[in-house]
This record gives sequence, structure tokens and C-alpha cells, in this order.
Amino acid sequence: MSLENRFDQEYDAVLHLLDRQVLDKDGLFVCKVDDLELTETEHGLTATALLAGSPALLPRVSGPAGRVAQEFWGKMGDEQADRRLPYRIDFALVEELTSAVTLTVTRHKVLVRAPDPEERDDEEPVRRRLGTLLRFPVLDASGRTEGKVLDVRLDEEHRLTSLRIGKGSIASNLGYDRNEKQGPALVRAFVRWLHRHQQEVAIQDATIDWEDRVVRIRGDRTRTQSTPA
Amino acid sequence: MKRLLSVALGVLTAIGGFVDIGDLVTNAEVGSRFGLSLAWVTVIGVVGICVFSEMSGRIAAVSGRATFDLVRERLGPGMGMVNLLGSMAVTLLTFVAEIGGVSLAFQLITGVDYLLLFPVVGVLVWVILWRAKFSHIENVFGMLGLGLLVFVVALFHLGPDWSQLGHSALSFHPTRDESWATWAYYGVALFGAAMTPYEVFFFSSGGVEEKWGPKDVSVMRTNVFLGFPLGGLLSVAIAACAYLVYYPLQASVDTLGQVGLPIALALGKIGLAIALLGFVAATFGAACETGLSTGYSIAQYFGWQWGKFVRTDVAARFHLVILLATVLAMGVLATQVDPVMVTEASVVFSAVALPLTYFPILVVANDPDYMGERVNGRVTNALGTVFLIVVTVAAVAALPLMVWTRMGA
Amino acid sequence: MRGYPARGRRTPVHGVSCAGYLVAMKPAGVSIATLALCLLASGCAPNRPDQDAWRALAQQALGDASSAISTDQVTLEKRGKVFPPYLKTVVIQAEDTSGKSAQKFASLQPPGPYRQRYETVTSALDDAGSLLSDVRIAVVRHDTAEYPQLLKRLKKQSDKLSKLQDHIRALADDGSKG
Repeated sequence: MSLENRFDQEYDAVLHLLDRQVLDKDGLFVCKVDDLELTETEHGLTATALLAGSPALLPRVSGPAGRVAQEFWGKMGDEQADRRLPYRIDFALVEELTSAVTLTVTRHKVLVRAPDPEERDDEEPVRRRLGTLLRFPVLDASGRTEGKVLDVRLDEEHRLTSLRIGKGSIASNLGYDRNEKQGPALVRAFVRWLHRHQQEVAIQDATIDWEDRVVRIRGDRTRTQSTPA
Repeated sequence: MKRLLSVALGVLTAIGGFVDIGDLVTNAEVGSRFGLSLAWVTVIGVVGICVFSEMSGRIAAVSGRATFDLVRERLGPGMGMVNLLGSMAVTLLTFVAEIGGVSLAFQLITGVDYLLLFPVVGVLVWVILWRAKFSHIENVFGMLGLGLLVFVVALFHLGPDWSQLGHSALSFHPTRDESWATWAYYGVALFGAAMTPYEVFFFSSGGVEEKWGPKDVSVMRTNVFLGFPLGGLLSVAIAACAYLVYYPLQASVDTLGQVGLPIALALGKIGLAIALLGFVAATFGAACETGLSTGYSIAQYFGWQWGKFVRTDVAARFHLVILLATVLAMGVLATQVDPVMVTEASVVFSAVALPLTYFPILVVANDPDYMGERVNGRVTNALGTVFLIVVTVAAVAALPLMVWTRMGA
Repeated sequence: MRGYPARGRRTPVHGVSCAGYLVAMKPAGVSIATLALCLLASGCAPNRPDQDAWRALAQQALGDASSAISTDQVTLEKRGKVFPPYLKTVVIQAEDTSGKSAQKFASLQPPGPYRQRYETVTSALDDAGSLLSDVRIAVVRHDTAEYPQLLKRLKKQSDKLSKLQDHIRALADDGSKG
């Protein structure tokens, strides 16, 4: 069974890309997609690279366990300058996305450290991580919380087109909300109930405030229920 | 003809590979104390493992990905990590029990104390996992494990009163002097022994090792639906033999030597020799499987190259994990803890870890992203949901029962 | 949970009842500290099961000894059907398991009225233990001449243990006599 390349159409970053296995061109395993690098370009926020390694993975583990793990990781190699920098695979090296991500090259020396954000020139675009965005609460025009960012939709050029907002965090990757008929019925009903408040917000209607770690949505947008990608 | 042979091989390997030290010890203990009054638990356990192994195998054949690989994708890194830690703990405990089991089996053959033997066994397991081909490991130990069929033969030779056996099997209550709590505790233990968590993850990783494709699904199903129930039959035979020999003596089974005694009584030295070969093969095979499973789980969570289908140096981290797991297991055995007791603990903790294992499998097997059109049908989903409820009940009941009955005393 | 080989059972009974009393009578912080102290103390001192628990533990220890005796009996009788290393392993492990279980039981503090019974049970367990050792010594030395005598002793000991088990069980019904 050949699966189609998801990168030929719109896709959801968390559902389809995050935590996927990365294979090299010979089919050997490279790493998992531990996080996604988002860069602010003239087209808006664009996914530019896959991120891998403990510095990318550990911040995505929520709660006290995640924080402890991150600190421990840092302390174990405090003398290393790049200890907290993840590995980076540019999208230029990515061939396609089917049930795994395939690269155009072999895995030999493919994982290279991402540049240190503290050494960035002012002309260089700011690089962000999807994992950071995913924990931002979402406020509507009057300041009330609508939930958190659960997923983001990207187009064929990897540009961010919309955000998916909802309450609750567990089971957000199960994908039940995307497929009308996915079984088993009991689990689907339970997950649907957990995510009954989900909605999709176009990126033009939202402002991402990275400093305050919050997303604000405009009051006058049209509400759309989430639909499968 | 060649196809028929390969199907037969698969079925035989499934039967021989079904029983491990947990099954040997738990079934004999239960038989000696409760007769066949818990046989229904084995039946349910066998149905459960058939349903989930089929799902797990289908996932590997259709998507080319192993099940645990997909757990992190579907549940996220946090829940995936919880799953990893839980599965690893139980798998390592089982690994210790299996290596201990092999050592005890060798002690029965050679008379040398198992404490002197386990380092040899540990090194042997590691070398085989490092060097031998995956299919060789599976086929050799699976076929030799068929020696345990001698339990079925012995059962007939012991000349039982079949109506008495039937009566015991249909009596759904504890036997003389045993409390309901103890009966329930052993029921949960038996369930954990039949539905070993590592088995389903191993089955799908094995499928990827052997490069199954969608065309292999029907062969895989034959192996599962023929092999596992026959393996379950073996478990019941072990319990029945123990029942016939030990129950009238009011003796309980605590050691591996006692497990094999009914064979000697029924069939003499020849039968015993075959049974001992079966013990070694079953426990050694299971030791290899659990050892590999520790490597599979960690590598599949972090995305490292795993498997014996690539050269050892290409999957260096995977083999390192297996080495460390073997050293750790030997370290635990060096504390002189009784391997039979470790086995008893491992089956109960297996029961506790069951929902962690089965829920992701059910989710992934329904996902068209991985399965295309071969997602679960309605019957499979119905069975899957029912079993999910059953395993959750067993998991929740396991630890309280263990504490309350003081580990089934 | 672990701590003893062979079966590793531990009665939490005393610790729980002591703690329960204190938790009911005193405010939170103090009761937690006292609970901790209590558990520590009950960990250091010999375990003091109450009457019901003691009877159950006695049954268990006697059951383990009886199992070992029966296993040795069957194996020795039918020794022609097993290999010598197998026979040797079975009798060594029977002595081991039963010995550990008996030792663990003997270390328990019997409730007041059961002092006499404690003596009876431990002496029966000692007899069983020394018989199991004799069997093991004879088997390891291939002293086949001893076997018929040992088998007779095993039978007798088995009956004795059975009677004692019935007696302990009957105590449950005469709770008042203690």
C-alpha cells in the first residue's frame, strides 16, 4: 500500500508530523521529529526545519516531570556550549511525508546543531519552536480564555494557515476528531466529548505574542468548527 | 507445498513460543490449589491475546511500523514516556524471571545450583541476541518448545476422571479453604501470565524484523488463531496435571521441579527429558524475546535504529541497551532473590501494565493513516473494546488484591 | 513488600491498627509524625499478628512444610522415574522453601493466649525441617539404603502435620478458648 505524500496538501503539524520517525534515503532510522522550527518570514510564520534530540523533546513533556528532566539534562553537560541546542534538519533535506518522514540524503552526519539564538544577528529572522506555541493559552478580544493551541495547519509551502484551539490536552493526538468513522465507537465518543469545544482560527485572525506567551484572537472573526485535513 | 510448510512452521512456533516461565509456574500453582476452577481465565486470556496480537501484527504488516513506534506518535511524548517506563519496568522484571527460569531448568538437568548457572545463561542470551539471526532464534526455540506438548500426553496417561476435571473447570468458585480474594488474585495473575504485555509489542517488532507486507496478513492470522489457542491448551494441561498430582496431597507448587513431576510420574524418564528440553526452550526463547523487547521499546520511543534486520553496528544503541538490560537482570539475580517469586511478581505487574499496552494498539489499529483500508472491522473493535474494559478491571484490582492476600498466601 | 525469600509475605496488621487509633484521636500533623514513628517501631520490633492473622500464618507455614514433605515423598517413592540431578534439585529446593517459611514464622511474636501453640507449631516445623534435611543428605550422598526408612518417616510426619493443621483450623471455631 503506498501512502500519498502529505506535503502535497495541507497538513496538521501535530497530528501528521510531530513525533514521526525520520528515515534516511536508504530506509535507515535517523531520529524522531521532536519539534518543528518556525521562522518568521515575509509570508508569515513558516516551518523551516525539523528539530531532534533531548533539547527539543524534553520541553515538550509537560508538567513538573518535564521541567525536572530539562534541568537535569542541562546540569549533566553544563560545560557544553551547545547542550541546550537541538539538532536541526532543514526542510530542504526532506523528501516526503508518508507514515514516516523520508530524507533525500543518508543519515551519515545529517544531524547538525541548530544555531544558538543568543548569537543571532539582527538581520536574521527569529526562529521559534512549535512546541513553545503549543502551550500558549488563547484569549479572545475580551481577555477570556478560549483554551490552548492544540495544533497548527500548514500548507504545501509549510506556511502556517490556521490554529486549532481547544480545552484539554490529553488525547489531542489521537486523531479521532478528524475522521467521522474511526472506531472503536466507545473511544471515539469519549474523545469527542473531551474535545467538544474545539475550533479552528485562521492565522490572520490571531496574534501570537511570544513575549507574553499568549495568543490573542480578534473578536469579529467567523467561528469555524474544526474539519479534517 | 512450500507455503504450507511455512504456515505449519509459523503455527508450531506460535504454540511452542506461547508458554514462558510465568505460564509454567502460575498454571501449576493454580492447578495445585484451585484445580481447573480458573481455567476460564486462561480461555479469556487466550482470546484477548489473539485479538490484540492480530491487531499488532496487522499494524506491522500494513504500515511497516512496529506498534510501540506508533505509541509516541499517537499519545504524545508525555504519555508515550509513561507508557515506556511502565512497559520497560514490567519487561525487565519478566526478563529477570526468564533468565532465572532458564537457570532453574538447567539446575534440574545438571544438578548444579542455579546461582552458578545464571551468569552463563545471561551471557549466552546476550551473545545469541547479538549474533544469531532473528528467524533462527524464533524458529529454533519455538520448535523445541513444542516439547511442552508432553504435558497434554501426560494428562491422558495419568488416567484422570474426565468428569471430575470437567466439574472442576465449570466450578466458578474457590476450592476448599481458599478465600474468594485469593481466588481472584490468582485469576488476575493467570490473566497477566496469558496476556503478557511484551508479547504484543514483540510480535509487531518481529513482524517488521521479518519484513512482513500486506500479503502476509493471512499467514499471520493463521499463526495467531491456530497457534495461540493451542498454546493456551498447553497452559490448561499444565494446570490439570498439577491438579491431579498435588491437589489430593494438599500440596502447593512452589518450585519448577514440582511443575515437571507429573510428567515423570506419568511418562517416566523419557517424558521428563522432553519436558526439560521444553522448559529450557520456552524460558530461553522468552528470555530472548524480553531482552529484545527492552531494546525495541527504548529505540522505538527515541527513534533510534533498532532491529536485527540491520548489521549490529548500524543499530549500535539498540544492542547496547540489550547488553545493559542483561547486565541489570544478572545483577538482580545475583541478590539471590528466588526466581519463582520474581515470576509471581512479574505476572501480577504484567496485569497492571495491560491497559497501557492495549489501549494504544486499539487506537493505532483503527487509524487509516497507518492502516489504509485495513482498519479494524466492527467485530474486532467490539472485542477490542470489551477487552479494554476487562484489562482495566484486572489492572485496577491487581495491586490491592496482591496486598490484601499477601501475594496469594 | 519483599524482604523474605520464598514467599515474602509480611503482615501489615499491627502497624495498621496502631496507626488507625492515633490518626482518629489526634490532629493531622501530629498524627502523621506518630504514624511514621509507629511504622518504624513496628518495623524494628518482631511482627505481632493478632489471633486471626497468627492462625492464618501458622496454617501457611504448616502448609508449606506439608507440601515439601509430600513432594519429597512422591519424588523419593517414584525415584526410578526421574533423573538423579532432578531428584537432588527437588529435595534441595523443598528443604530450602520450607526452611525459609518456617524461619519466618518462628520469628513472629505469638499473641498471648497462643504461646503454647506457638511452641507446638514451631517444634512440628523443626521436626519437618530436620527430616527434609535428612532426605536431602541421603539423596545427595546416593544413600539408597536409607530411603525406605525415610519414606516411612515422611509418611508419619505428613500425617502429624495434617492433624496439627486441622487442630489450628478448629481453633477458629472456638475463638473463646484461645
